[in-house]
Amino acid sequence: MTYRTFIKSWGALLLVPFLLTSILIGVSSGAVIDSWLRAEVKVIPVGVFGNHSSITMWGYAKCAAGFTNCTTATVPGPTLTAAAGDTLNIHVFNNISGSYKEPTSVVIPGQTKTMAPVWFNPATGAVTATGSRPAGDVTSRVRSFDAETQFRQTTTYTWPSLRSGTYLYESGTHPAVQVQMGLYGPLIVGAGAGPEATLLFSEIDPVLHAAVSNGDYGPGKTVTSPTGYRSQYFLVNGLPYSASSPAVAAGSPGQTVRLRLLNAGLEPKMPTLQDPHHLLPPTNQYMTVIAEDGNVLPHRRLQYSHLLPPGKTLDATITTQPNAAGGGNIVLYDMKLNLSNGPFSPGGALINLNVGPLPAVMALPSVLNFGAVPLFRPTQMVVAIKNDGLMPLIFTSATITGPSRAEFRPPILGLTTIPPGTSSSLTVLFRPTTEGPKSAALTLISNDPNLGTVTIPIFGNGY
Amino acid sequence: MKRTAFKNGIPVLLMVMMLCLLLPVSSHAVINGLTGALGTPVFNFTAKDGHIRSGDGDSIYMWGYAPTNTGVMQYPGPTLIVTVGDVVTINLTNQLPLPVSMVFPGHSVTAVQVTGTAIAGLLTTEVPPDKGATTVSYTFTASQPGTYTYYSGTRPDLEVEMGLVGTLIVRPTGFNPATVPGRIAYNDPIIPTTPPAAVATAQLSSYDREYLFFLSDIDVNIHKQVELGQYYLVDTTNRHATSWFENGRNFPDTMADENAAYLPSQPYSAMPQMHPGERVLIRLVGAGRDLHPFHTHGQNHLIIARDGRLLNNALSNTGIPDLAVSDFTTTSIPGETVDEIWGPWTGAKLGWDAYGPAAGIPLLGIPAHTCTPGPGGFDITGQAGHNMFEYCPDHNKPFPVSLPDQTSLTFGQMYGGTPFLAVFGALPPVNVRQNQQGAMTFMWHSHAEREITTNNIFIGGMATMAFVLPYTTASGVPIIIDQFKP
Repeated sequence: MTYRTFIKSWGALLLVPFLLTSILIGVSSGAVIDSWLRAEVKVIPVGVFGNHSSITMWGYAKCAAGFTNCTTATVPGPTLTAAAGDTLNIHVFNNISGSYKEPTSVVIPGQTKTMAPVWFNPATGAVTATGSRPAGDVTSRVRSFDAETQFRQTTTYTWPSLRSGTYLYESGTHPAVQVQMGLYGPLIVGAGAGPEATLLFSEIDPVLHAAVSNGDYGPGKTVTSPTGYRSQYFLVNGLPYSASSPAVAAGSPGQTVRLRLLNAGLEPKMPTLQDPHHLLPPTNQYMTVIAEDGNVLPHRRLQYSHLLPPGKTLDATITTQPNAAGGGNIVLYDMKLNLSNGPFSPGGALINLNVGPLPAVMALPSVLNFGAVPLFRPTQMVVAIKNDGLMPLIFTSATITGPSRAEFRPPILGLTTIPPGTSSSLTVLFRPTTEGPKSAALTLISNDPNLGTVTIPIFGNGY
Repeated sequence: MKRTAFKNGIPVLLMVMMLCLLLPVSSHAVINGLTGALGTPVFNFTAKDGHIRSGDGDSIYMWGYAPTNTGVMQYPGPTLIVTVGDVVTINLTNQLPLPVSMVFPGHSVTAVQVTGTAIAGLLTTEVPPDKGATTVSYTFTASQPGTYTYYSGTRPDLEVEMGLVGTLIVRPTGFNPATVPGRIAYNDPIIPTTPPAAVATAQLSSYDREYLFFLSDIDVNIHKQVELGQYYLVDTTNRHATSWFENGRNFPDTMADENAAYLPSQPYSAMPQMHPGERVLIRLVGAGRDLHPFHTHGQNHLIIARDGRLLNNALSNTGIPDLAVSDFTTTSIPGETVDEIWGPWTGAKLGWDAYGPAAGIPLLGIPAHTCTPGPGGFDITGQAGHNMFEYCPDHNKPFPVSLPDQTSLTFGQMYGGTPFLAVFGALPPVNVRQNQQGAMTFMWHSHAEREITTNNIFIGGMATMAFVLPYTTASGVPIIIDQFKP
C-alpha cells in the first residue's frame, strides 16, 4: 500500500486528531501513573474537633488497581505524586450515595488535557450536549468541566504530560457544591530531594453539608444554593487545630524545607509564620515564595505571610538553623484569624511544623480559672495535655505549687506517654476551705526539649 | 498708606519671606509614636479595656495596649519607633479577663517571665489574667528597617478584633528627619533622581513626609458581647465587620487633630498634607481580618516594600528596589505591611495651568506668575514659593471648561472655589468651604465602597482626604505644614 493510499483510507481519520493533540499537549516522555479514587461519603463523627453534630463530607478513597483494597475516604483526598512529563490516569468511581446524588468528575487546574464539558437544560435538568455549545442553543449551561461519572460508574481522566509543581485535583462537576463538600486533594509533580511539607487549607460550612446529606439541598429545599456559605470550621490538611490534630514534619534543624501551600477552600488565607523556639535564623523569619500555581517565579518573594486566595497554590521555602534543643515547632497560622472551632478556642487554621522530629507539649487550656466556688464543694476542671510534635511525649511529674496549693487535690495524669497529635486529660480538683481568691500553679515536667517545664496558673475564689 | 512706609515695608517683607525659605522647614511630618533609648529601648505596656468613638459619636468597647506612662488604652496600640540594630524590650502586664501576649511577625522574639506565673501559649509566652501580678518581657533585635506590626498571639481571632494590635517602625541607619538625605525608609543605594526633584541624587526610599495608614475593621456586635462580660460565648466564626477605620478612627475623625482631646483613646490622625513636588511615604498596615483595596486618588503610588523587605530581585534589603511597582490601588492584607511612596504631585499634564492664568487674577488679588523650566520642564526654583514645581509646558494653559453659573452648581466641601492651587473663588451660598488654603484634595480610602460608611451613612469609615498645599498663599505668605495640626 502506498503512502497516499494509506492516508486516503483510514489513516486520515486517525492521524489528524492525533497530530492536533500532540501539537496542543505535547508528547509524553515519562512513566504512566495510574490512580484509582473512589468518591464517596465520609462522616466526621461528633466531637472530633468540638463539633456537636456529625458532619457529612464527600471524600476520595485511595484504592489499588481495579478499585480493590480501598482505604477509608479522606478529606483532602490522597496525595498524588508523579514526575514532570508523566502521563497521569485518574480512574474515578462514583460511590457518592445518600439522599442527594450527583455525577462527578476530576479536574486539575493548570494541567492540560482535552476536556468534554457537559451542557444541560436548566429547566428540565437533562443533558443537552458535551463539548461545544450546540449552535443556536442559548439556554443550555455547563454543569461539568469534563465528562461526568454517574453513580456507580467509572471514568478514566488522562493528563498526557504533566507539568511540574503543586496542583489541586478536585471535582469538575457542579463545583460550587462538590468541591466544598470535600472533593479535593493535592497533586505533587516533581518532588525534590529535600524535606517537603504539604499544607492544604479548606473550610466546612456544616449547615450546607447537613442539607446535602439530608436531601434538603436544591431548588425548593431549605438550602437552595451555596450563596449563603458560612464557614465555621477551618482546616489544614483536613483538620482544624484541636486536642487531636497532627503536626507536619519539617525536616531537621539546618535544612531547607519546601512548603507546598494549597487553598481548596472558598475564602482567602494568609499563612503566617511564628517561631517561638528560635528554629529559624533571627535574620530570616520569612518564607521565600519560589513558585505560584506550579509556575517557577522569575522573581522570588520574601514575606512573613503570603496571600493564598481560593484555588491558589504557592511553593515557599524556609531554612531552619542548627538548634541546641534539637528542633521543635514552628507555627503556621492563618492571619485571616479563623482560629477557632465554632466558639471554641484554640482551633481553626493553625498547624505546627515539627522540626526534629521531636515531642512538643501544649496545655489546653493554658490557664485554669475555677471562678467562684462554694466552700467545701469539690469542683474539677480538665486540662488536655496535647503532644503537638511527632515523637512520643513522656511526663515525669505533675505537681501543684503556690500559696493555695492545699485547696487543690493533686492531679491524676491519664497517660504518662502521649503519642504524637493526641491528648491526655488531667483532672485538677478545687475544694476551697476558706473564703477569698486562691491562686496556685500546676507544674508539668516532660521530655519536651523546649518546654521541659510547663506551668499552668490556677485561679479560684472560695465563697 | 504713606508711600514712604510702604517703600520701607517691602524690603522687610522680602527679608521675612526669604528667611522663611532659608529656615529648614521644621515640621517635615514624622509619624507620632513612642521612641525609647537608642540601642536598648524599653517599653512598658498594660493590656486593658476602654472605649473609642465612632465617626457618628457612638461608643465602642475595646481592649488595647496602654503605655503605662499614660495608662490610657489606645487604638491602634502605640506605634513603636526604634532604630535598626536596637535590642527592643516590651514589658507586658494584663488587666483583662483573658490571657494576653504580643507577637512580632518577622522578628525572632525571646519571651521571658519577669514576675509572676507566665503561660506557655500556642504562639508565644502569655500573661495570665492576674491583674498585673505577672510581667512578661518580649525582647527582639530590630535587624532590618521597615514597617511591621505587632498584635496579641493569644486567641488572636478575638483579641485582635477587640483592638490588641499596633505598628512597629524600624528606622534605617542614618535616619534624620531634619535633613533631606536623612528622610529615608531603608538603606537602599543613592541613585540619580528623575524630574521633578530638588536634588540630583536620592534613595528610592527617600521621602519628605511619612504617614501611617493602619487599616482595620471590626464587628461591633462582638464588642457589645464582650462588654457584657460574655467573652467566653463569642463565636468569632459569626463575625461580620460593620465598622472600618484608618488609624483607629472613622471619617471624618480621620481628619481631626493628632491627640485630639475628644478622642483620648484614638490619638492618631490620618490626614496627609504635603506640598507639590514632595514624596510622601505611606506605611500601610493590615490590622483587621479583611482585605482592603487601599486607593490613593490624585496619582499612583510606588510600592517599594512588603513586610519590611524591599521589592528587590536579589532579595537584598540594601539593594535598589528594582521590583517596585506603580499602582493606584494596593490590597492591604491582614497582618501584612506595605511601604509605598505617593508623589511628587505637581499638576503636570492635568491639561491646564494648576496655578491659574499667567497674568494672575487682579480681581481676586492673585499675582501674575512665570515658569522657568528646569530638568524635565519643572520650575524647581519657584517664585517666592507660590508655583514651585510648576510644570512649565502647561504654563498658562486655560482651564478647558467654562463652568456654568454659580446658581446652577453645588460643590463638595473640599472645593476651594477655583481649580487652581492657592486661588480661592466664590462659592454658592449653601456651600461650606473646608479648604482653607486653596489646596488640591484627594480622597485616600478603601475602594470597597461599603467600607467608607459609618452605620450605613456615607461618608464615613475607612476614608480620609489628603491635602496638597501650596508653598505659599497667593500673596506670598508661607504655608508651613505642621504634622499635628489640620
